[in-house]
Amino acid sequence: MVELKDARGTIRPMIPPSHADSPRKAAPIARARAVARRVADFWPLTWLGLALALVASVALVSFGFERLDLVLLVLGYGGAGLLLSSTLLVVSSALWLGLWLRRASFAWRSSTFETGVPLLTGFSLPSMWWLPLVQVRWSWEVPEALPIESSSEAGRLKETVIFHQRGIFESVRRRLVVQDAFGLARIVLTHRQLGPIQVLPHLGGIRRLPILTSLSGGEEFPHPMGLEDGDRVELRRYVPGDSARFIHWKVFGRTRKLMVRVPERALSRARRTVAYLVAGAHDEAAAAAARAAIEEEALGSEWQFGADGSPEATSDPTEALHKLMTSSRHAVASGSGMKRFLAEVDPRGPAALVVFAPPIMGLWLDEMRSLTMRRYGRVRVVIAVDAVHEPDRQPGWSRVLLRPAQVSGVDRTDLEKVGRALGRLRCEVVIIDRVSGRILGDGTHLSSPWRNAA
Amino acid sequence: MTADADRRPSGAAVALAELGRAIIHGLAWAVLVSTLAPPSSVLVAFAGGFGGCLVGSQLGVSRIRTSAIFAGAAILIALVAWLRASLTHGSFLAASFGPVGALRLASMLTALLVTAIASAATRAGSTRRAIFSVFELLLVAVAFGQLFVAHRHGSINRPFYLADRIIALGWDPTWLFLFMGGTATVFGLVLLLREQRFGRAILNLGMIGLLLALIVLATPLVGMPPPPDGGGGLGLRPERSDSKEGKGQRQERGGASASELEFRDKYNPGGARVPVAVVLFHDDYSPPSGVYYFRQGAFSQYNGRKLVVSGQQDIDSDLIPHFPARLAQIANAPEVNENRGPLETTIALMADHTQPFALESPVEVEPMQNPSPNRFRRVYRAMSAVLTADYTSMLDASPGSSDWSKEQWAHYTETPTDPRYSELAAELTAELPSRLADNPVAEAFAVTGWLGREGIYSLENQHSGAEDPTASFLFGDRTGYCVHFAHAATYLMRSLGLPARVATGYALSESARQGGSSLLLSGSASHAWPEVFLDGFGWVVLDVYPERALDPPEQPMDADLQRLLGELARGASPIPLSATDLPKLRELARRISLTFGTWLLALCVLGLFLLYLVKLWRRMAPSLSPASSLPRVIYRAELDRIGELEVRRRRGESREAFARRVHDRVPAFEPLTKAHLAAAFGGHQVDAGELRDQAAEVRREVRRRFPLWRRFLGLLTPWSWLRSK
Repeated sequence: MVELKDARGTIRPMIPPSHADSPRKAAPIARARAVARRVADFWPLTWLGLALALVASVALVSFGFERLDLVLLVLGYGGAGLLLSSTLLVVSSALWLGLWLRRASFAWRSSTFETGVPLLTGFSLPSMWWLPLVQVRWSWEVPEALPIESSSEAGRLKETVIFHQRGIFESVRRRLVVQDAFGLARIVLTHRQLGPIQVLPHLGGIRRLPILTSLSGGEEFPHPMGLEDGDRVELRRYVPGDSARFIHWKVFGRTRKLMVRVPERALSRARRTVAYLVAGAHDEAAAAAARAAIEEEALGSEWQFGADGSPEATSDPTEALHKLMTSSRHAVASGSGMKRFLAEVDPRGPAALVVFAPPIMGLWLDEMRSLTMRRYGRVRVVIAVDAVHEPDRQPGWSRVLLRPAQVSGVDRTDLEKVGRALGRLRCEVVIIDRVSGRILGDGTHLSSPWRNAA
Repeated sequence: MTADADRRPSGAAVALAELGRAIIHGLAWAVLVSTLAPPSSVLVAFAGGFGGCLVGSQLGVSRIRTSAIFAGAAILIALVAWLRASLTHGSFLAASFGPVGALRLASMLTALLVTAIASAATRAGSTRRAIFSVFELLLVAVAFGQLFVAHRHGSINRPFYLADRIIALGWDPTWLFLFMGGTATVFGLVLLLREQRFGRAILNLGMIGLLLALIVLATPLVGMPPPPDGGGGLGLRPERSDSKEGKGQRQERGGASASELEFRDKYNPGGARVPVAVVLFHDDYSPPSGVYYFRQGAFSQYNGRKLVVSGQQDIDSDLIPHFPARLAQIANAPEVNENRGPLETTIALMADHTQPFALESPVEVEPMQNPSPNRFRRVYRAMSAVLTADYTSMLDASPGSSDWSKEQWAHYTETPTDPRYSELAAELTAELPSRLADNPVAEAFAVTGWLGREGIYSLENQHSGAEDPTASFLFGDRTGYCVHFAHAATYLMRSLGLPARVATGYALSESARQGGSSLLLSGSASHAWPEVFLDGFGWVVLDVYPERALDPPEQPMDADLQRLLGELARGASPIPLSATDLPKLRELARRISLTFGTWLLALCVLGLFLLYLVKLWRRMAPSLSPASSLPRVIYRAELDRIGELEVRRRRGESREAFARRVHDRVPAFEPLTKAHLAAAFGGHQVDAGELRDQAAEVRREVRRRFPLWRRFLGLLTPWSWLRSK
């Protein structure tokens, strides 16, 4: 991982969408909802607590006192007593915890994190395991990072967090819920811890992906359009995803090494590679591929990088990673900076273009269309996914009876649409699974390997 | 306090929690069904609840929508109802099993299916959303409430099949109900408990147990809930409504406070069957009227509309003015003479009263030690000069007292200005035989006799809105209750020049004693009656006994309950030990507890033995295992050893990461881990001697880093290996 400690001084922190808008612009309903939520955070009784209060009251008044039912009298006293003690415990614990949090100071265990993997943050709370009936759980409100796990060790609850989204965050806001073991009472506290922290996309299995080595300019093909054509006279190491047809078995027989035949190299190669990261929905895997390319020096010795949100070209790995992280807030304007980026880098000479793109149709495909129409040279599009799932084909009755299945990743049809669209633009498409590092296809042939994704 | 880590479910804890919930569901349904269906259905109801709960837990984590679960449950229950109807109305089952068998089979099938479906739906709902847990709570509450429904309204001797056993043991059945209430509460709270860590769950359950023990024990100390308002309008008991309603509102209703009687259109005796007091007779006594009158208050001052309590010192001073703190003599009590004899009674109040009462007419009163403070509010002894003379002997008595002043005479003979009272009184006395024509006592009897013949007793009437409710009653439909009759009689007697007043308290027929020495008073016994003062007799009750009534007669109080409460008021065991088969019961209880205890002990010992056996085997396995499995068993043994010291792998933590984490304390564990993994995945074999050396090094490091007491405790813990992973 490239050290980010020398990142430029002007860190642009992430602003969550809900806070990006001015409060004045927020709809009155949304504001009222926020106020109601804040009030509800301090109201100690849950719905179940209120229901228990009702049941206990009925048991006490209508049966205990009116009909002298001693069984229901004790039941009513028990319910009311437990509700009262739970509420008192929760309120006092929340007060104590609030005061404790005010005094406490926490240091980040590291200023740089990765998405997708559980990491200790350095935040901890006293476990107070001996205090019965009270539970504390917490989550991150900003940035979104779930689930939070905490491990009890040496009387402390230590926080482990899994980030969902890359970015640079000025601070984090936690939502601490102090509640009782029955779910009768609950108080919510918020805690803000200053950063900044930087979150990089997790590489998964991409780190070991040899296909990235071919992203460098040295692997140019001789075809004028940059297509993979010509006699396969060169050799390179086999990587998962290569066709078995091209394995050089004789070499394998001699050396026990799997080598594959690749087309001959260009006589005059474009030594420079320009890479661009398109932000959008499900773009974390693409960002991870871009990160791998930068960190593994897969873009060759001479490269320039840009990303949505900061399309200015850079050759500095640290700055490139910074662009990569901040791009996640520009998912709406997907591919909007590509034109400006190419306008800056193309005049500097011939270069191979590598675009890291999300597996979802969007504005970025229009940009790609106009780009391929005016630009001569090879364009390789790397689409990375975390998982591919079958399209939802539930029958009507099933949708009424069953909840939608929890699926992660991208719909296969969406992925195929993107592949077809790029194929029409005569782009070279590589679809990579981030988790395994396998190549799933080239956009036009996405037949079976996707099934093994994730 | 705990956090997500503590709520992380461990397999055994989840299984135990599920099992506990399933048992509670089964028990609740079994209890509920036992009150609704034949006994043969109880067992299948338990099975249905048990199985349904387990199925419901799985449904809760399935993809089926919550609405679909509830709708499906409703449809299935409807189908079961239809099936039952088909089975019982058809001839197929009856032909095969006979009518009784068919009914029993249908009941069992219904109980099984309905309980299973309902439990599954409620459990699935609770798994999805905490708010649905309230249905499970209601299930438990309804089941236990229904089982003990007979004990309501103070009938602590019911249900007989349970209470009799408790009484036979010489205990107060109240504790049974309190205990069962506590049990129901614990069941409900176990269903609500969202703690999935075994240790924390035990801690929380312990806290619940403590809290409930506190509540069960504190409830009697605080005092049982008072009986519902009874005798409202007679001023016998402090009314809760007094504090809620404004004075003006009471005036509009023609209402009253404790110092005045209230005419009500619809008189509610309230909690008619709920005992409010127990009276213990120290001697046998049969009143000449056949009715025991317990006088609490008297209303003699006419305020222009009705009779109210007099504020004068020398009026109605024969009442017990307040609850005694020590032995107190009643100021103007009648003398004990040939007309009145002494009778001692003990009165144990189970509800708060505005004033003490006693069998008319009290002479002295003395507080007594309360034998059961959780049940009785106050206990006092009263000596009364009870009427022993026959009514015929009163014919010679003269009305009033020669000691009275003119003001007193005027006070007790003041009547409404309405001339119809005196006209009616004259009319009534005109019918007397000539020899009794001027006899004041006979005139009083003529009044009460006429009212008894002409009046209609009804708790519902239409007189409260009238300017003079008594006139409305007397000169109207003559339909009313005791307050109307007492007022009417008093006014008519006063019109005849007889000193009369209205007294309130409790009146109960002699037959209500049912041969015992205790008498249970309830709200339905509250009463108002007219009294006349006769020289030499004092205030004598001359009650009206209406011959016609629109309301059904009150049922006598439960004789068993009367006897039981009487015994409790005496401070004695409900049943003398010698009179029961206590020894047999004790022997049975001893046998059951011994058998159960022996089995439980044996199971515990067996469980401990097995746990220690496995622990020992895992520890000793490195010495006994073949070389091929040595890396695994040595690693496992050392993992157990450090696991005993609460150093365990976290969820999701790889073995390598765990070894790195504990490297500071047990560095030798890391090579052992590598050797184990290398052997497990790579088929790589490590030298056995090297492995043993590494294990020995781990043991040395453990001895060096962890105190002896901690290692000893870990060694003693039989289940420590269960948590090794």
